[in-house]
Amino acid sequence: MTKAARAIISGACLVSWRCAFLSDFDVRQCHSDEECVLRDEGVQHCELARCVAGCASNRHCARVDPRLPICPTRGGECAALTTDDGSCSVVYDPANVANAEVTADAAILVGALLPSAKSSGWLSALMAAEELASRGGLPDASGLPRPLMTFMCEAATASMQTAIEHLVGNVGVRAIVADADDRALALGLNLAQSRGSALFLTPHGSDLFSQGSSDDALWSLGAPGLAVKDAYRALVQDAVLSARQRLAQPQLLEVGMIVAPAREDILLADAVSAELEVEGAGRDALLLEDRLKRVDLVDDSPSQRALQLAELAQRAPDLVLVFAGGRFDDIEGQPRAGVVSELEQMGASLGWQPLYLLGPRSVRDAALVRLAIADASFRSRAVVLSAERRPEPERLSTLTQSFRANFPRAGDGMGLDEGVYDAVYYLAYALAAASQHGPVVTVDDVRRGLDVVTDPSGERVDVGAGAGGLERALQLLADQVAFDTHGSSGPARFDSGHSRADLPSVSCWDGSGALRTIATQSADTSAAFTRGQLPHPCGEEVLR
Amino acid sequence: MICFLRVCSQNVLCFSGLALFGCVPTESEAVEEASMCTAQPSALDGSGSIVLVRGDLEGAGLTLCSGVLVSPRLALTHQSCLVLPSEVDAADLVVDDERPSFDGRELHSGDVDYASTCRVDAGWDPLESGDFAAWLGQPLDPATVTVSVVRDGAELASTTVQQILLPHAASRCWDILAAMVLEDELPAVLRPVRVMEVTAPGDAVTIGAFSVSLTEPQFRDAVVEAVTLDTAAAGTPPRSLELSRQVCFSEPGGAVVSDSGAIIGLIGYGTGAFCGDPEGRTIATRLAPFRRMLLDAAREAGDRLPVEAAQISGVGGAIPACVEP
Repeated sequence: MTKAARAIISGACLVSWRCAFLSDFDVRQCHSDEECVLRDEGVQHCELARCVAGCASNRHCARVDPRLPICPTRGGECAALTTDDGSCSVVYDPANVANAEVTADAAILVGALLPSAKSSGWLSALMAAEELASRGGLPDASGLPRPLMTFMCEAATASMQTAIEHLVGNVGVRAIVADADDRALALGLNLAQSRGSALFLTPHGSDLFSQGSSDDALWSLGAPGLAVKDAYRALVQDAVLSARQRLAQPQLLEVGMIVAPAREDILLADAVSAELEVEGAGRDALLLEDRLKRVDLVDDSPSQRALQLAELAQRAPDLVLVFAGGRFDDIEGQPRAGVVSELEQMGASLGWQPLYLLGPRSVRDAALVRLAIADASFRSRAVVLSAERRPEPERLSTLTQSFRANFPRAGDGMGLDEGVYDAVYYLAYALAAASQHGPVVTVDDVRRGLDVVTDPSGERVDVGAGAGGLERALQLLADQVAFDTHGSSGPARFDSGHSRADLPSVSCWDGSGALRTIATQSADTSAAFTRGQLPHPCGEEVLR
Repeated sequence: MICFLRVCSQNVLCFSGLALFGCVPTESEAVEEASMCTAQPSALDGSGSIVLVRGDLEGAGLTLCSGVLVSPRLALTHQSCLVLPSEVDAADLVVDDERPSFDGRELHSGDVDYASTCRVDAGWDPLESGDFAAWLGQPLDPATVTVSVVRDGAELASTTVQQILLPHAASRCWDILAAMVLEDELPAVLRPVRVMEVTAPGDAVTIGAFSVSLTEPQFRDAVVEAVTLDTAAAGTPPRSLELSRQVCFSEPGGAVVSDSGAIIGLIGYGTGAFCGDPEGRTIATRLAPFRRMLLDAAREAGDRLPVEAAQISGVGGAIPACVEP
């Protein structure tokens, strides 16, 4: 292009930019959306030969202002990919939908509320999203692929309003993987209802279910934390026996309880405290109240927390019950090291080593996984109690290998979060199924889609790539045939409360950081845990 | 009048059906024009336009980039300098009262390893390998960012930042432009911005940025080898320029200036294996697509946005000439 030609174009652009054709009544006439692109009266598109407010497509929005490249629906307001405060900072958009000649409601939009943008959960969500997007998207009613976009926000209470406003209000997300503390989750659900509503699928359970929630917008692939409260009595008995055997001379035990300032941790700790006090008073003085030191960690003061832990450390506890999740690491203002890591360091300097009974939310504590990998002694002294459905070993092994291959630079303690991975598949399939009958607008639309892809009478389709997985799902979605999605822990099979609990089990981390189940309780929750003849060399000091 | 912009091919713009009659500025156009002024380009070298941008990460070090002053209270830089580096978490920002002011601190420049963090041959999507290097971190507090005029190793003037405007990019791979409204005015000539889509392959440009020594900005000639609009092309992400020369550390955020003296782009990073790699190129984000963001930033700064004067006589008449500070 010559300079003269460019000059002419430049001038023409400026003329067109400055001027608009005014017919009678100030109507701006057009034949196509493009004719409204250069006008600067907000964002306009062509409707019935007139330029009217609202966007025509994502590309339209991006051309007007690349900061706002999402057109939620034709005639809608352009929206941003991320938020100013950084709480929603990651978008996975492999088909570059944000620059395409489509509106966002023509895509599969999956939201994710995760503890951190640098977490196992996020990598696991990304792995699922990449696999799902690898074939160009999921088919609509005509068999054409709908591209997939994944929007990731941090699941903190402080930023929840911004996140929900962004995901649900601005972008139009109607299905969200929500790995959040109960307080943040409850807030998110309330906010979403006021902004158009969205279905939340929690990968690891929530005690909102235990409180009799019948909210159709909240579903869970995990179990409520309180599902294990009755199992604690048996496990503590086992652990106390083990602790006594460790002592040279019989004496009263020092038992510590560490409780994080999260609603579900406090609920479970209260329930277990009640059990232990009853146990101690009524039977063989298992736990005397003056030997039980409970530490309720403060929320926003790392220095105060250090003092609390130091006070506990001075008592050289023989057994420590920990009610703190991996997500506790991400509470604003808290250092990244887990409380157990801190206590272990204190114990090492003072010359004692306790046994640990870790609550269900500790399963995904990256600091603990790192500690387990690095410290064989800790591996032998720590067990986790959980009622989540256990992953099928073969599926888990395959997916874990895939995770390692996809993310070779992932740090120690990072690993597949199979709950998050599964949840992305469930919601993406549900949205694809739902959108075949019209726009996905309500929670009921998503729920109906979820029914279609978790139909117990349908053909089994595994999450993940492959002939029995994504390839088959694509075919069945295109054929509009219901199927039964099997996650890494089996089929969905939600209970009447939209949740999934299993019998409590005891697990520990092996030297690679993988979680191994070493004992499962029977339906009788007063029965003792029995360690099977399993080859996993961990947790043996607790369950002998 | 029917006048519309049509993208005929990757880098060619064409117009259809241009007719002129009955033109009056619309209300919002008048608002936009009121936010602009036309500035005469001056020589880049010695103008004070190229600045050093530092973000204080407390005990975790400093972000360090080049930047360019558009007006006394408006500067542009690479957004990687205004967000947490991928290797730093918010929890790492532990206050360290004993920290040195500059020397000896860990420096995080805005360099992007395109080969390992972006799918350069597949739409420039971020490529995640487990280190989270492709994604943008939390925005920095503007008060922790300092913009300085440095010449011959001496800091002649500096100010903190009052407000940061980011492009809401999805990753570090493209759309790296960030605007800073400065707390105080810095001594600078007005530097016009190109807001029209007229840059083309073959155009001669100057790259202005701080070199590794951080004592003096360097100015080097380059040629525009590719220009992209909404979509990526092989080797070039959307809304970008590919330049014939490889840049180095601390240069991200520097200016790409046309032979007419207007800022047309902002340096992203180089594609080569090392600084000065003759095989390497530089990816830069074009400014023209971000006209609205720049106007917003200028308004926040209480300035008009200096724009390149129209290139044919009479067209730009409604936009007043800038008043030099």
